[in-house]
Amino acid sequence: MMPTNSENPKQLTFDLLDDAMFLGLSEGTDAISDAQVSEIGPLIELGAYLDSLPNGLDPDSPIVNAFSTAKTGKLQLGVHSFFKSIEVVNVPVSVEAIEENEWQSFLLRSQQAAHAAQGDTSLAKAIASTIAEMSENIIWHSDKIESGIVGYQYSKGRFDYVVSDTGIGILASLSKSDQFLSIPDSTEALKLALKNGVSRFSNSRRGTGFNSLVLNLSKRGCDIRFRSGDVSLTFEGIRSFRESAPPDPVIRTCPWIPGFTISFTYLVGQS
Amino acid sequence: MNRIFLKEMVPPSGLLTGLTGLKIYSRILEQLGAVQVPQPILLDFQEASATGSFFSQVVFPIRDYARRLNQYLVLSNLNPETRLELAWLLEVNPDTFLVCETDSHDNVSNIAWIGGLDERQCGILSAISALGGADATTLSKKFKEDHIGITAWNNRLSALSDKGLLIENKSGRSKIYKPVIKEN
Repeated sequence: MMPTNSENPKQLTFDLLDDAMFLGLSEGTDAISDAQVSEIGPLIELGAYLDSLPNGLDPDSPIVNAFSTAKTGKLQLGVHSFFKSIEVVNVPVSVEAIEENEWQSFLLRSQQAAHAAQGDTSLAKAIASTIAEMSENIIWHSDKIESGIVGYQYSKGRFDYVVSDTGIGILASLSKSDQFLSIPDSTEALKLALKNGVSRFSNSRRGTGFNSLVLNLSKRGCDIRFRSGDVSLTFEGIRSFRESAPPDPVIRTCPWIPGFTISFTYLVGQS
Repeated sequence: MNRIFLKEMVPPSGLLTGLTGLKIYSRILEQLGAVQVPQPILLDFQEASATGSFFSQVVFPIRDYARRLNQYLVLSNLNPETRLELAWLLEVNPDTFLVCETDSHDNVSNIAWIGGLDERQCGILSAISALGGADATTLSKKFKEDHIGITAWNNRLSALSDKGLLIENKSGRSKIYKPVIKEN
């Protein structure tokens, strides 16, 4: 088990999660099982990883408990926790469910939370729009709608959200279209999907759902991590904010996980 | 002026997405009918925020359908986020929409177009707006230094009408093109 400093407890971050997955089931489990959870992004991504394991992690381990509890919206956060509030729900599984009060209220609450975190109504609406749009993508593209979850977490000055499924992933989704059969791997598939206008659907006006996320939000000083298959592509807008331009994406090879997960973080004062 | 108010159809979150649009689509179609005299139809976005998917899956088809019914779609009261979404979509799918602001008394202001128009097309729209309406012959005389024939002018005007940016009125054997909407 990796050493833990009691004054600076180990936190579950994307880096730690990637490292743990590279270590494999046994050592990797040890590496993360005692980590504190303070960020919703790596927690939900861990959920996708757990889904890919035949037996999952030990159900009594704190990290699995944290994930299970997060899905019920009652995550108990550590004393060092940065966050104020968290809510995780299942993505609607049908057009009818999109219109139901349960989902509509969630979208409203996420917008209110985004506003409470950073005070800009316009940005809060833009964020909520992308939550809705990314969630609907699961219905269109995942082939495993029932696996879709979406959550947000906020505190004064910070707003995070995650949209995740454990479906077929971006490579298999795009490869359903004849014109994308030759895509070699998840890296190329992700890069292609984030290009304007690319979709497996033949309608030329489809496939622009990432525009708002990438063009609008990333250039306002946000981190956006796209994770599918064995790759992550991150717009590190918080670290490398540039006026009016999205940051260049950072591509990393990662251990394989199913489906597609988008993690978004906005920190006030970065733009 | 015919107006379709999306606020009467928008879900509680105020967000119009691709999937919410699937149901709204038929309700909007119900409010469109064929008209003898070409006229504008306003799609009012007050109290609504629309995503790119809503535009691509609902607004574009509505625009094309309305055009076949002799109606010219104009988008009114888009909030800044919605306007941005539309602008990005039109960068990817080159096209143009007329937008404006309207109040409860049907007063129209801030008419503009979103999307790509070249300098020449902008010039034609400005000229038609200033003249209040014109045919190809009038424009060929007005811009005679351009040495463009009447047929070429007709093609240009017709293309702008196809985009829904100019109303085409047949007058005998000629066609008069007018602004779709005017400020008042």
